[in-house]
Amino acid sequence: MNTKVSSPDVGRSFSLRTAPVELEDIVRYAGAAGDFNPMHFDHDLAVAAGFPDNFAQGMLTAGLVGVLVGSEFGPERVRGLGIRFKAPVWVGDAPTVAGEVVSIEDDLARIELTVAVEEREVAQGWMTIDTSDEEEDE
Amino acid sequence: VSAPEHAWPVHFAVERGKCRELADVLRAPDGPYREGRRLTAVPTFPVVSNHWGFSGADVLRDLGCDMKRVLHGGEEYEYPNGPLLEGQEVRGEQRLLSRESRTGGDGTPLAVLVLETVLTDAVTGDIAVRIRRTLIERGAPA
Repeated sequence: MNTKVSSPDVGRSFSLRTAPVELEDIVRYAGAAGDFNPMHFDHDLAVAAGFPDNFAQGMLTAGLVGVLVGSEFGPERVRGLGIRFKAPVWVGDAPTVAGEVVSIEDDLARIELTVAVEEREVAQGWMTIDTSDEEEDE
Repeated sequence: VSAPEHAWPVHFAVERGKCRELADVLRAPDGPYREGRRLTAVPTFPVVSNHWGFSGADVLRDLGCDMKRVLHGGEEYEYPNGPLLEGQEVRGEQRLLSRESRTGGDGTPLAVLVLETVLTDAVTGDIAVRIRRTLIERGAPA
């Protein structure tokens, strides 16, 4: 399979944007993951709890980030993903993932990630990418 | 604060249909997440363990946490031997690593819980994935 992927060179930065997260995505994710906390799709419940609207499961956001960045560098080369949630992703938000390759050690590139909706930071994270199949530069 | 002894068995198979379902909802482009004879599982694939035994809600209940006050602080996955692949079967257990009291910026007492899951390949016995989940319970001293 010829999937076009990027090379994780140190210093390389990128910005990738998801499509808006709609209520349908949240419901479909609940079914796919088996995680049915109704706060994410029951509007009256979310409002009664003091939220302005429903918001995406954290793991939906993490999943979107993992697939977006994984597809950029090659799904088979992903060796790790970490994410810290900072703020909700509301229905209709379209998060942008900004990343930078900060190091390569022991054939593992580390990418630092910031996930934001316009100026609002919603998560920080990292991914590691196996570089052992990159061309040797010795 | 020492962590009470808790462990929950985890076991799941990497099924083709579930790989495709997650690839669809996570909008994976054409490529290894959705095409080929053996699909690559998305990095967050282990969330499917909710369908195979203890769900995240069960774990919170066993820990005595009030689900309505629990926030998901973060999640980490390490795949030392590469991503999960279609057809693989993994098993292991989830354990409570730590449970600590903190104070939020607004003075709210918080309990920060860290859960670790180590899953090994059912055939080779090699470590397939290590997962760390951080949960924050607001208004609850640990």
